[in-house]
Amino acid sequence: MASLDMLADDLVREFLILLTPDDPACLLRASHVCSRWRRILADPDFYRRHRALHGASPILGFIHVVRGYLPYHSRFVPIGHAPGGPAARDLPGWLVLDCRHGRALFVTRATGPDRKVQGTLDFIVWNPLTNTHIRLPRPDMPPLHFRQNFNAAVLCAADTEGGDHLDCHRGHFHVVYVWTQPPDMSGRFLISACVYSSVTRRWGEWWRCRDSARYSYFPVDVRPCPSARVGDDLYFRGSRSHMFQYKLSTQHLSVEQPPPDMFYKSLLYMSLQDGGLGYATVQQEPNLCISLWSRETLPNGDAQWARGRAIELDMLLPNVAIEPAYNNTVVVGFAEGTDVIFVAVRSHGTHDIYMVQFNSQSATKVLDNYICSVFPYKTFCIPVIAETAAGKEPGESSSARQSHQVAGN
Amino acid sequence: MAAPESGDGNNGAARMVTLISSDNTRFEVEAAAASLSQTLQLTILDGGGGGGDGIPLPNVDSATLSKVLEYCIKHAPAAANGGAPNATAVDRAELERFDNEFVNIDQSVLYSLIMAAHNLEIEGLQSLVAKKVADMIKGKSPMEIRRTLGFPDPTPEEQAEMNAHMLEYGWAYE
Repeated sequence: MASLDMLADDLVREFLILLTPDDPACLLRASHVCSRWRRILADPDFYRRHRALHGASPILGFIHVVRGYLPYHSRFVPIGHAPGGPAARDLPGWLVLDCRHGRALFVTRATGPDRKVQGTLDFIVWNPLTNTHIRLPRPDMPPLHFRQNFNAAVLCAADTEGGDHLDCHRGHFHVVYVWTQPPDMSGRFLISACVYSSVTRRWGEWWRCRDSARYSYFPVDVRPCPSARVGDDLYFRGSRSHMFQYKLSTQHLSVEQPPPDMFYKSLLYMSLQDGGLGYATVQQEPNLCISLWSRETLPNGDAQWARGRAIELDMLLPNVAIEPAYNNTVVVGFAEGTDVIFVAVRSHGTHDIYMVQFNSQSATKVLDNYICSVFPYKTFCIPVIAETAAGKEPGESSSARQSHQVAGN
Repeated sequence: MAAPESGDGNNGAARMVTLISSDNTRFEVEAAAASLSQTLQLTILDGGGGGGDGIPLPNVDSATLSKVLEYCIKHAPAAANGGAPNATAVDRAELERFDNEFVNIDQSVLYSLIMAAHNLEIEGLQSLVAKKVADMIKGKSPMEIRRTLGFPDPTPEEQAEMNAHMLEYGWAYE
């Protein structure tokens, strides 16, 4: 008897393309029907068409640091009513640093011989869809240490190589690690960067910021704070007087001028939807508002910051008694490629986090008890592609899975 | 400029064409309805299918062709209006009701329809059957999807693979 199993790939594609990204479980289950469907779903051309038809993947959840645990404890929280996403999960002992292209990056206390050096940390890369993780080998420069000022970003390896994100189903990723080293003999702080590649399973050369000599003390912001990826560049937050730019193609790390006169702890660098660098911040003028700024380059090469859209918090949260001091309200996260930012607002003595959609000017409370940045999670690829990737993930072992299940309990 | 002789509606009577299924059954249908098929449209514009000739469709059996023509006849008036703009809400609701009823069929008929819609390039029907299959997939486990769509029983290897996926991606199966 005729069966839909007999349809050619082209015709199978016509109905699989209609499965929507807001139900990733459905796409994932479809990929388990047979190896042919799995291959069709994992094809970059299919992904390209799927994205054109349905738009970018929705935000499925976010990762935040949980208050009151030592040393660290992170948690994944699903967003929305879609039944088809990963469930809430505790990640004890892990401190979240970044989440991009379907993966999240953490540091955790080192294991093995180096554990004796108190405070040594390891990087962990976690795939929320498969709930699998790998522990990266330790960088062989100055050990990653909790007293060191550092930040790090995770991104799909194809992206770093100037690809169009679409063949990330190969599953390789890079981790960019930026840190400030304690002063050398001359009393200067040294700023350096290093990249881990899952292709080679090792850390690459260690690049020192060429501008280091010009600066006496420019620490990397020590609190978890998302980096912004704009084209070939990653931007990391520094302090009031500087920010860091890391060029992915040339591995060049430099110190850049931040926006002037800002309460820097309340600003978050972000990639704007038009592809430029921007930031979101909170300003009092006279009413408290969240504003978006974008960086423009003047004909003489200098950069200037132009104010873009703004939303008054009173309009956004009419029923919330916001404590008015502007430093009580902090931008704590954003989702690349969307109009969504996360804002912590202090009201009745607690800090609540709202997910704000700029285009529709709407806000939803997603968390109380804020302590630092939150990291939205989108499936960068449709899940089946992430799934194919996970199966091939280098260095990922069943023992890693088991140990994570222990960690996740 | 004079209208082409084969033009519709000049004399009030709709132009008819004959389609011949793979099992040699002849179907007489309005040219406007048959023209929903991109494949047939050119032949019909060329004046084919009229009189005693008929257009042979060696890939479509009579049961399927009758079903396909049911769709075309229902959708031809709306298509002649260039789609929905002039249709009233009632017309649209009626078409929707028809479509839902139309695809309420078992998977072997669905298979034949998918093939026919593809071979005859009937865009609306292609979307309709694709949407139907997508709906049949939603909310089901891989094994249920296989059964619903008439797949053969999985080989032991396929079964083992499905079990492993279920274990690994527990969240998608809750």
